[in-house]
Amino acid sequence: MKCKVIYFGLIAEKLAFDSEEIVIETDIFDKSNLELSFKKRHIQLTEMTFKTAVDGVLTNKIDTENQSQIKEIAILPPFAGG
Amino acid sequence: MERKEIKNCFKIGAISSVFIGESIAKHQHKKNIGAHQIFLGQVRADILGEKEVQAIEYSSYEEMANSEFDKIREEAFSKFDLICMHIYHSIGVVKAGEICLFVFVSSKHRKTAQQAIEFLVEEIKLKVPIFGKEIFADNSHTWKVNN
Repeated sequence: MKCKVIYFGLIAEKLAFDSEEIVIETDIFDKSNLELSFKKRHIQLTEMTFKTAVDGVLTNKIDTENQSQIKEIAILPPFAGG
Repeated sequence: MERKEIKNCFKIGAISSVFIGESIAKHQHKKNIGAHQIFLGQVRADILGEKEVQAIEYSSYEEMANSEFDKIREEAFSKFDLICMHIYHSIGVVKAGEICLFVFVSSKHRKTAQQAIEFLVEEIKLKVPIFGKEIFADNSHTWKVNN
């Protein structure tokens, strides 16, 4: 299953792109630990702090029962509002 | 069932003093209000190394941010006896000295409004996915992180 991933702020800058499509059914993608999966996917993220959100809700994992309905995963660097 | 419309809390650029003043004036006809409390976040000209911040360029995961603003609003209304609540955050470039966050609550009594504003500002800083690029005079930049 392909899934859109969107990157923000410092992370998009480090990667030099702000979105991509990924396949989440692979051996290297751990659906129970999104942070670790993306750190493995992109070496630039290894030392970075970020949160992950699935369809706009903060979470570090994918609910495998509903994974076919996922629209996007967001990779969010530290917040700086206010 | 009717789907609830999520309000857009973002304003492009700085939040003007005129907008803030007009927001206050609009509440004069609500005569059950006894206290307004306002928080204004202002872009600070921090010195980082030897460089001074000239502006912050705000970006956001806007769909999630507006949803988070909505949840925070709902929680504040459930926790505090408020009559009105308004939240606006800038998106795009805001120069040092300009306003980037405007939180405005109204209640019958001052303590309620004071407690609500403290809650709202802390929740916004913690939960809303907004990112800030601090821009220096030489056009270099760094990324702001909330403490």
